Amino acid sequence: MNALARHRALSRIWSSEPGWRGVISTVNHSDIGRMFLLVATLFFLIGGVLAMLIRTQLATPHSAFVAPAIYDQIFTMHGTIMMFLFAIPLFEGAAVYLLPKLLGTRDLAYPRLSAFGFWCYVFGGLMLVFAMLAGLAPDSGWFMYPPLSSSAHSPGVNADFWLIGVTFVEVSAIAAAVEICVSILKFRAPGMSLDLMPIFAWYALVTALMILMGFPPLILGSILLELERAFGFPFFESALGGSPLLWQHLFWLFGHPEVYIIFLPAAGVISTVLPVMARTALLGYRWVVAAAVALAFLSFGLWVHHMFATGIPHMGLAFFSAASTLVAVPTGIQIFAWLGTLWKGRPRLTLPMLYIIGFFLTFVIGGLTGVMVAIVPFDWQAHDTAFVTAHLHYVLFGGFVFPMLAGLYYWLPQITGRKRFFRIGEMAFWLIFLGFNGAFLAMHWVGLLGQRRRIAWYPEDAGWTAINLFSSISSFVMAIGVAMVVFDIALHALLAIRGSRNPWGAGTLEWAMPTPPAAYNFASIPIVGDREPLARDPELANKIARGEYFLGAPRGGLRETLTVDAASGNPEALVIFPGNSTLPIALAAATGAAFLGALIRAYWIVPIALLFVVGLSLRWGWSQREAAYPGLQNVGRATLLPQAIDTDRSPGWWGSAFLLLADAVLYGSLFFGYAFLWTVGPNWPPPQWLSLSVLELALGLIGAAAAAFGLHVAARAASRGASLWRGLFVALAGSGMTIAALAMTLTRAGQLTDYAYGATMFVMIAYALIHAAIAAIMTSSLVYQTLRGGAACPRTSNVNIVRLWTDYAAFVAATSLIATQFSSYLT
Amino acid sequence: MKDVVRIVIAMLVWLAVFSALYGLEGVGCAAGWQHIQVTGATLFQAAMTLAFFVALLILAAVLVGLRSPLFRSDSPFVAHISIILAVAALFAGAWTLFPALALSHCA
Repeated sequence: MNALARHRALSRIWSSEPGWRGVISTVNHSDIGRMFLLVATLFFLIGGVLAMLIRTQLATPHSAFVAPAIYDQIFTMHGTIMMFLFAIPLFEGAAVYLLPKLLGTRDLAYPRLSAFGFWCYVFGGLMLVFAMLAGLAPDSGWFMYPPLSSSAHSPGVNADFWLIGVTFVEVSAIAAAVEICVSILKFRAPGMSLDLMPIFAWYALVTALMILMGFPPLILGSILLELERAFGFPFFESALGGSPLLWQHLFWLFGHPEVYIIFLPAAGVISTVLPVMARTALLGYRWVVAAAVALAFLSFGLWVHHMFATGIPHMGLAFFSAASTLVAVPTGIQIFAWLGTLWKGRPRLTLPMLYIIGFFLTFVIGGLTGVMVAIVPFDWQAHDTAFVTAHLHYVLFGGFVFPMLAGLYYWLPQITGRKRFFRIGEMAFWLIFLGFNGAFLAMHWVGLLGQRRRIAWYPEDAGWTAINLFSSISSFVMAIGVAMVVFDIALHALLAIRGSRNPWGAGTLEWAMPTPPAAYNFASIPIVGDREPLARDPELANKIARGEYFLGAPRGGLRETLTVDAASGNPEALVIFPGNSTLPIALAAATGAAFLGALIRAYWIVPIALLFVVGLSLRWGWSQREAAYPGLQNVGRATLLPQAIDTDRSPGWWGSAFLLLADAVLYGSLFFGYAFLWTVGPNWPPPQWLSLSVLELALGLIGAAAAAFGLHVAARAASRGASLWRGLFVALAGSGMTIAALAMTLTRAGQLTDYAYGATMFVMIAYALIHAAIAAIMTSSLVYQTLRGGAACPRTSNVNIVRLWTDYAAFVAATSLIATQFSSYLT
Repeated sequence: MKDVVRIVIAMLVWLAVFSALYGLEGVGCAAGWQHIQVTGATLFQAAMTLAFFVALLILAAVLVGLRSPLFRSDSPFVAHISIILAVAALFAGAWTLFPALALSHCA
């Protein structure tokens, strides 16, 4: 088969459907990535327009441009859109589009999950935009502090749109994070060991892990606040044993890592683009990887630095102040690695490089003001002033938007296959750079003079008028620059001439393919022995096209790729991906209906929608097994590999493990909340405790142990090819006992609206009950597969996945029962 | 996967001990340990000091473990990064938890 015939055969297999149907049924990572990037950009423009409205309002004192109530919605939506609908999704889009190309594989680990995440993002974003157009947008600020956001002070549905809409969007982020982790660890080109991974993949891996650990506390907080608003569960009401500070803890457990979740991918772009622009390799690759990992973990130890003004004891303040200053060290290591790379290379002043220089100048200022607000006495002075707003924008615009614009112009020829012709981008850079610094440098100043953030107007005699006017004019200059970038990109995509394959002379694999890239990425999956394989072998692209590597012979109309050992990169298994499907959009719509039902308080919709979610999920899992070959498969180069679904730890197992990591963080956050109310919350202890029931406790613990043991027996039987019946029977009986015990405890939780204690007990047991039900449904699915027998018999990988979920459900049931049943003995 | 664990373990342990000491401070203040005298110091002071040194000991043990042939990665890259991060975690522990020795109690 020659290269052209191979290209045509692979294109037939991997391409999306034509027309609009292709949009809703595509599961291809390039399509999904581009759609993510496009929608995130649209939200950036919407958020930008809101920023201009804010600056128009503040340009003059006593402004009557918008009323305070509308102004509250505008600044809340500006922050919400930029944080949740622009920054994170833009990273997701970039990662979804780039990672398989950088890693030398044909798609991400779960193509349908990519599509599901995208549609959740779109539907959740549309909810928020609809709320804004209807004048019902959230108006309590993007961090939604209670009691301001509680139903007493925000009685409309505005805050509900935030809590439910943002949580829905976060489903998308969790889906993307799971996908990214598994893809990076298991879906790489053979030979690409951990030390040979492109640096962007390291940053993406660290960021995805941070999303899995950082988002669950906010999801929990949103659930608790919505329960309080909708049903009166008083988690954040001091008089009833709750505490508004609990929200601040949960929010900032997410909120501070969020800053680094936004910065780290941008640092990954810098670490990728800067060495190419400097025509050398990245200096200190190992140190940069270590710095990224250290930064990620340190960022989880900083959340209280947003709460320095809440009256926390000095020792606690000092812990977090010290940790806040410490993050400057790994950040500094990366900055010096980049400067060293420039020093040893031969830099060229291209447009991506201009944006990188813009990044250096702005981000370093943002970092230094970050160290200033990490110092408690200074923070007390600057807290809630425009100084903090200015610092935030220097870090996020300087540390994210500038690098992403550098990345956009760097990878644009890869995405479009065209050569940059129009030179509008350079002029746009200067407008953005000067406009940004004019707007936000001035904001530092006015903040130090005492201007609070989020004020709709200020008095004439405050001395802030000229500074605010200058800031507003500068922000409009920046907006013109952003508009010119959009215009430049549109002209490029529509009118520019065809370009060469690797215009920058880069060494990574995304340039070893025709541009714009084909749906299958690589005609054969290359073997990698270097961090910059294309620099080592300039003929690599042609060899790939000629099918000289793995899976170079398309067969059976199936979408095939390989998994590798996570550390060494040795090929491990053959993966067959599902084809185009409308299942992801249908599942996202059903999930959205459940969220929407809760939002409009039409609770009868929720269980119906959840039934659809369960049904579609089972169909999703079921269809995964259809396209299976028997036995070992020849994947080329005289290599025989099993199919991934026949291995003990299939991609599904890995995905479940990472999803359960996020789930466990949410559960841990719930325990943290319980302990926080216990130790710090005012008006504790409660007037009445949940009494111990030996029957419930014994039934639950024995049931949990039986469920876990049964699946253990079933997994062993599956690996030996023996009958699964005994194990499955024990597991199902165990799950049933656990569900019964939890249901009995749930009915006794009582005091749901009277006191935070009862509400906390209820949520903890309900969480365990949901997980026990999931384990029971999954076990039932194995029973059904066993009943069908023959080729439909459960595969080892499926049994191991159910075992993982059942183990977790058993752990949760046991700990929740112990924590609730013995609570009265802990006083 | 073991190599990934080697890379993240030291900073994860730092996060755990950091959170534990912060939690201990909350528990101690809520329980009134600052009012209980134990051989010339308060129970709060004694508990926080002990916890500080235990935390450093744990972080040092992680560093020693990652350098030992038993737990050291075969990959020089992973071994190098895991040791850098273990040293970083030890320094981070000393720097961020030092206030446990030096600052006023529950004020």
